[in-house]
Amino acid sequence: MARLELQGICKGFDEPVLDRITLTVEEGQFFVLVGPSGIGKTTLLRCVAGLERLDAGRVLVDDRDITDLKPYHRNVAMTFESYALYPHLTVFENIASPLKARRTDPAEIKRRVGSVAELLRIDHLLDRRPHEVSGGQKQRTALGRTLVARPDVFLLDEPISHLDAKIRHELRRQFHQLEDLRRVATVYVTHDYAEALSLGDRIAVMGHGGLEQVGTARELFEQPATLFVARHLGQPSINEIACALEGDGDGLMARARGADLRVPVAPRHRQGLAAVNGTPVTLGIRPQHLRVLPPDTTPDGVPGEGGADAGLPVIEARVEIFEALGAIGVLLAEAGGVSLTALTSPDAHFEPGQPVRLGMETGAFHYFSRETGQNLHL
Amino acid sequence: MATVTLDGVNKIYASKRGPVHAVQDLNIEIGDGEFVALLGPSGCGKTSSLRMIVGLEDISSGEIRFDGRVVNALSPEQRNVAMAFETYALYPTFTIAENLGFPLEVRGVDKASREREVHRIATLLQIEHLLESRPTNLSGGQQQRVSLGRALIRDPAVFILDEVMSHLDAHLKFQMMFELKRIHQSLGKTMVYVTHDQMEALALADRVAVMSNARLQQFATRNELYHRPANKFVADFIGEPPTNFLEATVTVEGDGVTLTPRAGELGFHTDARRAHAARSAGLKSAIIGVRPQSLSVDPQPGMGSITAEIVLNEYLGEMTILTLRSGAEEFRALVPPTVDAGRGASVTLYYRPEDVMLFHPETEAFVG
Repeated sequence: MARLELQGICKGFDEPVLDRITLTVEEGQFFVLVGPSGIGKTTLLRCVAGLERLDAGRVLVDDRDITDLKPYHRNVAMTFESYALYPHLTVFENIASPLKARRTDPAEIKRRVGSVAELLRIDHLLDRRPHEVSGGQKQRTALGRTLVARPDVFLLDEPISHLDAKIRHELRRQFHQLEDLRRVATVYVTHDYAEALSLGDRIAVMGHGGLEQVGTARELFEQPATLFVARHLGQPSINEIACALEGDGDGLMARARGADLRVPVAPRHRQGLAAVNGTPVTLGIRPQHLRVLPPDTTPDGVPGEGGADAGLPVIEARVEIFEALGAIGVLLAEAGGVSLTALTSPDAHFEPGQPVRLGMETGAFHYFSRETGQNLHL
Repeated sequence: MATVTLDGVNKIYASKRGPVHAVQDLNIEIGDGEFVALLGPSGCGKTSSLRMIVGLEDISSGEIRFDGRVVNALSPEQRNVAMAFETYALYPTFTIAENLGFPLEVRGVDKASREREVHRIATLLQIEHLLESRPTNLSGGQQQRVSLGRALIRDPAVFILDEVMSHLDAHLKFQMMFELKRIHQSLGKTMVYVTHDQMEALALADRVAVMSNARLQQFATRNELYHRPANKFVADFIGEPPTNFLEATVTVEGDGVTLTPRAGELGFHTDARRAHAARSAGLKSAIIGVRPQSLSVDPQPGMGSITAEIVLNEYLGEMTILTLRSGAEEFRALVPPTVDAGRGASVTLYYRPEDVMLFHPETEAFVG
């Protein structure tokens, strides 16, 4: 039972890898750090585990300063991306190793290893050695070894990134249901945004040196604080259009630079953007907020009732490429010299050059400062 | 330009423990200008097949024909096949222009023609501005493009790509997929793309050859693979999140059949065509396959419905995956991100009867 607190952690002087990182992980919270590779996520975990010296800052567990404690005095358990299993020990002995090291009673070891293995569905593999089990099972063995230790803080570094899609889905589901994880503070590191959104009670997007934004999955995806966050979450990536804002009667218009594309600013964004009228912005449009409209749509909008598409402002575009993926179709279309990505049904059919009308859910668009990358209407 | 025919092709390797049948009776016909993917898990025989098409591997039996001409005994150069690999293998001391022009230089093409060709390919791949740089100064995606360009510049009859995107990060992969599709659209060359990633294969190829255990399982378009998979393996391998499979008892009721999963309290109804197929096969039990995206929260006329309890709600931004439970059965549904009902809530999901797939309980073949 513990709460983890990082206060102003710095690492690296000339080119700081970690620059004054402050965050709190509450007891029972599953905290995910997501960011591109090489950004310092693993370094931060190693600082918490005591495997790296801090240049500044403090690490606290339940208000107790552990900054200067040796790793083995911290009661912090970490799994590594590389599993680091003992090849000559069985799965049982690998999972039991932290308990053995603490001279736990053999009957108690047997009981705890058994229950962890059952939870991770590797209880039928306990007599095998690491080379006799699959990658996913090795991964779960490494995880079991971390879980069995009953630490105050769990640190998980890309624990499922090497596995194929099917096992990842299964393990994501298991992480959600591991009650043991829900009793301590967990920090989970990944570069995969879907994993982060799926697992995190709270999620921090890490950029160069620091945390760009901390929030729930929905907050980060639907209200990104910076262009960096918006860009890092979402597949296919958010459309980015360099624009200038200009008045348009009572309203505001975003005009694409060097292209013939004008986008009306939604009423809910007007107030936040009025102050920056005339300054350069980046308009961010998630592909699912461009909806391919039925062919009988007029330039003024969707005919009749139109359902969910009714009343959306329309842009005329021309199909460049269409790809039907599994659950979605991705359409690349050109509008007034700007190339846009839109999401469609995978069963749709488009020919290159074909004209299409796109309905814009402008209320879900984002406007970022071109100078600072900050979201201008949050 | 060429058609490529694999006619009863086998590959048998000798090993200490006896012969290993790596490719078994493979029949594939690739049309001129077609984009085909060879897809399968590792060890399925796709790489051996590819190496036989290129000419890097002997054919144990059967024929490979380019435009009707048998090429079994021809070298890769004589076949006029170009190949790009997962590793870029660029010459680090050469500029990008020199790397691109190298295959032409080897063939003794004069400097002026070489430069013309290098510019044509660089324009196609949008790397003109990089021609004077060296490989180390390029990003992974840019290096991959140069490597593609070097294969393309030889103007091959058949262009083969071996896992060329498997190490790119997700964002770059998306860009490269569009890039490749655009290149294929503008060149119209016969392309064979080898991958273990079903999303890449579906996105890029006109038709996908799905392989498993040395055998071709199905060679079809995305639509057919999705809606009429040849067997349970194909239904399972294609699509993410994976297809839900439930073992069910088949009950004939007038025009239709009802499928009752053994461990659950659900009932699925199929359309008349599938019911007919199940009846004529005399099935008492079957494996039901339902794709997560076939289960919708939005009822439409003619849809069947099931009710289950939510075990997990995974919000993923563009969509949400629900993990559901009914009795001892667990399955997934893909729903819009606006659905925020959480664990323990009961939810009704709707499906079109024609989206309920049936597989034979023993052979696992598609019944209807």
